[in-house]
Amino acid sequence: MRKRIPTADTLAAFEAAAPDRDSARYVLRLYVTGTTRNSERAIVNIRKICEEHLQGRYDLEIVDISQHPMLAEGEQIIAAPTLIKKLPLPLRRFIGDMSRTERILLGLDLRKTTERAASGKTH
Amino acid sequence: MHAESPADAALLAENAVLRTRLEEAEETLQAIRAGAVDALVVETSTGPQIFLLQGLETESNRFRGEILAQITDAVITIDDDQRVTYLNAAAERQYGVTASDALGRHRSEMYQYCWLRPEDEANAMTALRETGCWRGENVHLKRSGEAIHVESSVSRLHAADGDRSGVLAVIRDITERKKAEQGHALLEAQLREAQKLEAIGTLAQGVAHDFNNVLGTIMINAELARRDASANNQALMSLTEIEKASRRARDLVQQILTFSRRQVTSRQVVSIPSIAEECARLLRAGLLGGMRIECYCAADTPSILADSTQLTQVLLNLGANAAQAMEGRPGSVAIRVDGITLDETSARSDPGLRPGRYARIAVSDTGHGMDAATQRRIFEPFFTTRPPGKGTGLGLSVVHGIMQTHGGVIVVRSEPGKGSRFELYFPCVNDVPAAPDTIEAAGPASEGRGRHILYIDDDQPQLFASKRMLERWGYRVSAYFEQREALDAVLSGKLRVDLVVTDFNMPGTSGLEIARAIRDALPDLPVILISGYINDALRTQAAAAGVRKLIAKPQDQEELRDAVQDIFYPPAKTPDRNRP
Repeated sequence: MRKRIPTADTLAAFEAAAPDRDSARYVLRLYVTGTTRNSERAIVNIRKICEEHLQGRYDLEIVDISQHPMLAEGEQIIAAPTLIKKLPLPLRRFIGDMSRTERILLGLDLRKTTERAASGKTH
Repeated sequence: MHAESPADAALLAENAVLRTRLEEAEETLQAIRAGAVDALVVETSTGPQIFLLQGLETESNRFRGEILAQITDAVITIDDDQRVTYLNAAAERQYGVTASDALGRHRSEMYQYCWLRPEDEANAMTALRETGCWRGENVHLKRSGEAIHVESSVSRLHAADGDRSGVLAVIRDITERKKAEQGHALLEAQLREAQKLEAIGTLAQGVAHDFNNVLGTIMINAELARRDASANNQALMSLTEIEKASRRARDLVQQILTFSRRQVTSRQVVSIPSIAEECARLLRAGLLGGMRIECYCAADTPSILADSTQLTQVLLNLGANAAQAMEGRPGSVAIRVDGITLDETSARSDPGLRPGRYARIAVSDTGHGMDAATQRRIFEPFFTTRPPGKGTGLGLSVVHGIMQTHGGVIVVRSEPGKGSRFELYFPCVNDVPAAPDTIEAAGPASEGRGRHILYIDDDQPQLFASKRMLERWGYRVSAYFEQREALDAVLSGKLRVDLVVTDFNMPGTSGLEIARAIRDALPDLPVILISGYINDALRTQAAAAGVRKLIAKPQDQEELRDAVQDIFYPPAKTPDRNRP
């Protein structure tokens, strides 16, 4: 999908870009070390975030680097668990057990979406 | 907005990347400090290396983790949204999933459950709410579609860190145990059935023994009366009828004895296909029109250790039973013979079966079939669904008795309106080829030495009784109901025999006509004629037709034996040990 690059910080331009962001497909890759405590938590937490905020429009790949360290090569991974947002650009990395939901939502550029979704729901 | 030079733009971009890397480094440090990182990845000249931060976990935590990994029961934690938050290696194996695939997913994507009783679900929920735990059995349906019977112990989790709240389930797969229990119950039922049949057999044997004594008296006295009344034709005819009826009664007694397994049998390595094909031929000749008999024998059917006469009886009884099930309507009876190897799974279809190689005979019909209540009783002696006087109820009892003595198993499959299928499983004889000539294998005592006799009689019981008798003396016998078929077989050369024994009085082609046809085509082939009424006219006609011996019917066993021996070992000559 061709991304529109905002050229001005006007409200009109932001609103024009919003539908693209809402429908963009997310490609995420989570690097873990087997079933260690934080790796397990990271899988549970990120899957929960994806199901709640990206249902039907995400690909989550779990990569176990404890068995095959070479899978981490070229990805500039310095710790595990690490989540990489491959798409939509820009590329983003998150480190830890993915329990800081707010920070991750912000990093995934989903915070605005969540707020809008929340305003239309009754919890 | 300011116009930027390309150099400025490059510097800004580089700055942004560096800032991001710095933020990531800061985030990594924070995560390490917070204990949210399991490992560090260091790029080396040989590629990335993983350094696990094991010090972050306490020794006791690691030990607990090791226990959960080693335990053979599936351990799963599920949060309040029904998402899987933990599963051990046993759970991965039990449900055919990997932790990375199952973690964070809804429990129903791993397995679904169904309750054994409608009230179980409400009881489980009440127990969890009131006591915090529930223990019981239910059925889990795996993602693969396979259902397993499980014993679960479920308790509420109140983890301090909050993210592990929900429930903890320890789940044991008890499918095999359940199957074993069901198998045990089936075996018990089978044992009760066997004990019942054994009791009936003992009773029947006692009756048969006394009945035999009575019959013996009747037959001896009939024989004595025959001598005394030699001049009285009317009395002779009556005595003949008494003897005929006595013989039928004796055959019934023999069947009862066969059922109660008191009959001595001689078993040898036999090949089923030749016996099955001959039985199919006999059944074709004996069954009413409109019924088709098919016989298929696989080439790789293994040999078995059996009494060939009893095996014939089993097939004929099952064939006759199948024909009766069609109640005169058009239909077909199929006899299929093959070899089958049962493994642990396939042997479970019947409690009597064990894994191994078997020779299998399947006799199926397109008849009225049986309900479960009838199936439970079919092997009981004297049980019959036919009208009074139409059946003895001994046919299948005899089959049961013979299968027991052969260490075989009968599996019955039937449904009302859908026909019946009797599968007989005989343990095969390992690595022993079937004797090419079963009589030759009978040993030196067999006087017949495998000489081949064609026996023709339209009276089925008489034919089989004579065939059995001759085989016991070591002859090989091809028995035919149908005169025309027998004659065609022998005249065309398809059947090569050393002697023909034929009844005289038969509908269609008479025994005399058979003798004449053989005299013309095969003058060296001897013929013995058996007749219920021998007079001078018949003697003359028989001599003209080339008949070598004429025997009165019902012939005495010894009389037939002597006549056959006279043909092969003429009294005037020294017995020839070689085949003629």
